[in-house]
Amino acid sequence: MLMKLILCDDDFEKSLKLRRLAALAFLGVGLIGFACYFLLVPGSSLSDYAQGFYLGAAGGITAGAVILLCRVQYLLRHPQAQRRARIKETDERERTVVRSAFQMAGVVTFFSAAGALFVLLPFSVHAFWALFVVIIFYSLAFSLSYGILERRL
Amino acid sequence: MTNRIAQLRKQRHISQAELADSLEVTRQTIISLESGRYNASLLLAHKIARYFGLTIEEIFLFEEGS
Repeated sequence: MLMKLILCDDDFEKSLKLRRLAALAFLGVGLIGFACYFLLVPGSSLSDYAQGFYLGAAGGITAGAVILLCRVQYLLRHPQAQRRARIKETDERERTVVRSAFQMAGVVTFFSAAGALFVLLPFSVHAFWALFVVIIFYSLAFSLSYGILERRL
Repeated sequence: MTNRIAQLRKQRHISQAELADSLEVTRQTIISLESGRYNASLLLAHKIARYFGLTIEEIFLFEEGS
């Protein structure tokens, strides 16, 4: 969904071709992950948890890339399906719903994370600081985005 | 803001799906427009007016204080 927002061009076919490139790039990343898992991880001192992260992340990224690639190829070869997909993605009500959902999710996540800080500190200082940095980064990203959009619109 | 989209569509014996396809929006958007849950953008309002061969003001009825 985020990729659709980022890569949606007025020319939908061009947008699909860009997504195909992105899918191939993700596939490359996934395969690198697999290669690292089989070649580098066995001789390393990584914990089982970290090794599992390599396998899970590589598998997830590769599977996602393959699915995206198949879908893009199907849409490029079937004009009717491409038209239906274009209408669904460019529909203004759909875009309004997605934008509003992102906003609501952002607000809920921000306040939940702020509340979680109080709960985390007694259990793990590292987790507390990690979450704190994420909240600060979110606030900075919001301020920067606001500044840019205020000038542009 | 209310509109006459449903009335005009039925007068011309057009289904919601056909109207949605002609305007290149989803059927759900047409449903939401007709029920008043969603207000069309200026661009979509213009497309709808052009489709029916009417002006925007003849289709979309702006009510003061609503």
